[in-house]
Amino acid sequence: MKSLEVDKHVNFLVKAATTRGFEWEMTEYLRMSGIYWSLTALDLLGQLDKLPREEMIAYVFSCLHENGGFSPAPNHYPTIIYTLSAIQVLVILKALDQLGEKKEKVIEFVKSLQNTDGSFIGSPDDDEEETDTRFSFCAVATLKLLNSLNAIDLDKTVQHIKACQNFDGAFGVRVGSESHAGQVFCCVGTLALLEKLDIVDQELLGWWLADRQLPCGGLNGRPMKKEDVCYSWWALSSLVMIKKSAWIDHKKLAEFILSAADEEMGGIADRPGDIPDPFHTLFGIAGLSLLQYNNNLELDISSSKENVKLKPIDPVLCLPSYLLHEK
Amino acid sequence: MHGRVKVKTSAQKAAEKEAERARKLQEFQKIKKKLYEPSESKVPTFKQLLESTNEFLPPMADYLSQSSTLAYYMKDWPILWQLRLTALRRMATSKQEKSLETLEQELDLTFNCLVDSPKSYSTWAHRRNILKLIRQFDEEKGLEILKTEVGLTERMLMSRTEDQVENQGRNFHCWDHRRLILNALPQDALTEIQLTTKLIQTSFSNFSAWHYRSKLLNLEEEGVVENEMDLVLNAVFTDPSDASSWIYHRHLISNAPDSSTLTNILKSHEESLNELLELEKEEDNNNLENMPLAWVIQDGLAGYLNSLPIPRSFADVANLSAKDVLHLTLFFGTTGAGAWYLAEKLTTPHRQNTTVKLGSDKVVDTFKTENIDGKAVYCRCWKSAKFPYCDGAHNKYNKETGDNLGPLIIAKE
Repeated sequence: MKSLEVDKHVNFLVKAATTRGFEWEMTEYLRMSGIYWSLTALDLLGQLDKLPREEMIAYVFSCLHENGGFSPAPNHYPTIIYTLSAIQVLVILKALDQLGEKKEKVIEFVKSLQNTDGSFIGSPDDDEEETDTRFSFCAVATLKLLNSLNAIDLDKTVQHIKACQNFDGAFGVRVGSESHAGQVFCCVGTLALLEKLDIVDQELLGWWLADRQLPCGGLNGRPMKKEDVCYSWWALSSLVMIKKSAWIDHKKLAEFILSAADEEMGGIADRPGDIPDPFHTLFGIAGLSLLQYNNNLELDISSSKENVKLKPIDPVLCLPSYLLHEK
Repeated sequence: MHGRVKVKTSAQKAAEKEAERARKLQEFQKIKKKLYEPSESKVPTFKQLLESTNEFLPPMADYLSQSSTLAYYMKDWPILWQLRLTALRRMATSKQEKSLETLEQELDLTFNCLVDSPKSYSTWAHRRNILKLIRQFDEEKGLEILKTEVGLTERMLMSRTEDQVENQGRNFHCWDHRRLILNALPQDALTEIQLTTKLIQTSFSNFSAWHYRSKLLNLEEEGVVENEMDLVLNAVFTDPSDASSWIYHRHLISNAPDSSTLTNILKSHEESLNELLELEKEEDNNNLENMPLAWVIQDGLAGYLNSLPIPRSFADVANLSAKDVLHLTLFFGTTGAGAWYLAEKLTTPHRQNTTVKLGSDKVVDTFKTENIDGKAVYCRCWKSAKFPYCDGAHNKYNKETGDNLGPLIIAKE
């Protein structure tokens, strides 16, 4: 099995986060999430200090709006997705306390997005039918990190998730939507945070998730789709949450993830031979961390520094575990 | 970010690409300044204009037409669509001349964007907003357009995009769009079922169509199970390596009401499966990893017909032999390496500690008995938030898993 080339990936991540060129401009609409992906990946590799902390914190606050929501960049409109990313960034940078009184506003923002049936829209003024189980997860995860889960109607939240459950045990975007591993992560994650995993038919779902593994070792997001490194996170962490991660071949998955790493410029792509990006780099490394700590897979970590280890990651909140479990 | 193949280029080509990108970047930055990025210039941005008044001012029409070309660069940028939507709503509310025409042009714009990027969340949502706006402006026209829209989704689901091998029949955005549109129209389950049948007959591996069927049909209704069984067995015979039809097949077997009809159907197909099995055996070299599903269907099917209990869950599986487990897992359609390892891994011990000092090689806690004051209660389930002390977490854990873990209590006399 190839080794995880820490130095190369760190260089790739730092370069992507600091180069002000075409890629930077074109990803303005998701920048807050981009920062979250980069920081989490760097932290897992033990090199969080490679990016300027104060500058990142200032950026986060420059995206906080009057209504308590965060936008991906200044001048854009706030949404629940970038609100979660912003809070995750503050947690990683240990700057959550800097929210101060504004914390209440953020909670209000999240609360304002819940519909009467328990589902969530993404931004204020969106039509109430524009719901997505991703938004449910973003809402609940945000409130969990802010220690304010009770701000929303938790029973209805769970009811809506249940309504999105399909014949195969998995979950989709909305009621009636086809099952998709990304949405499964969001639904199972929401239920895990609310301690309602009993809603899930864990054997049936575990089977559907295990079925995502293809002969090449990689996981896909739905039946008959291509393998993609990011499902090493969405599908694998879901399996971990329902305690069925033994149901896939760990070594083959790790080999697949490592084979999607770019030997030249570092970073990990969606599949071998494709162009790497911070998103897949994070979820590939996060997947490897789960395999190492949750499934005892032996990884070869190579770095010019001594004693470099991969940090454990929380399968529900996708943040390094040490931030959440130690006081 | 997905599916971008890394192609090796010469130094010259790389330089050309860089130059092209720099040009695009400049153009993009110029237009961004017009749309929403404030600068020292006295001309307000489109965003500032929208925020300064509730009316639809003349410059807005200009901005709308200028920013329509930007849509191709920015179709995943909600801000672009949000600004346009605000302006269009204002235009419609103030009953501007040519409102309807402008809204229909917006539909054309989103259509072209979707042909280019069929998975753009914000483009699909914007299109729905425009459809609603048209309906608010002119109810009759709006409904007429919705009916056309339903037909458009069918066209898309049946199509293959020009440069992509991908079948748009799996495009969940399009499926969801269709279902959302249908909420506003009279319910017609039959048309929907017929659409799924058409798609499945075009391609058996269309899981999206099988999924929709699972919502539209009631297995308790007379004749439904037989019909579905027929359709799905047709699919599995045609392509035993297709995962989609096996998942639906499993669903039918698990949830169909018990009946002699079901057993008879399976019995009548056993012979065909045997023939298929022989053919597959000849082609393949007994390589388990590439084993066609039909190969093991026979064992599972025979087992079913001999009243081997089909486990509804893996909890039942514990009572079966490993061989039976393997055969049943494959019978139920798990594909590739996953199936083989699934059976094997069922007996692999699972990690216990998932929360305490995960970075440590070994978590050890030592206490001296003389330091214990009366009684000490230690965690043995590894789930306590107050580890190494008990906090009652074993209760929840036992409930979830059926285990019987409890704490270690050291009590002095």
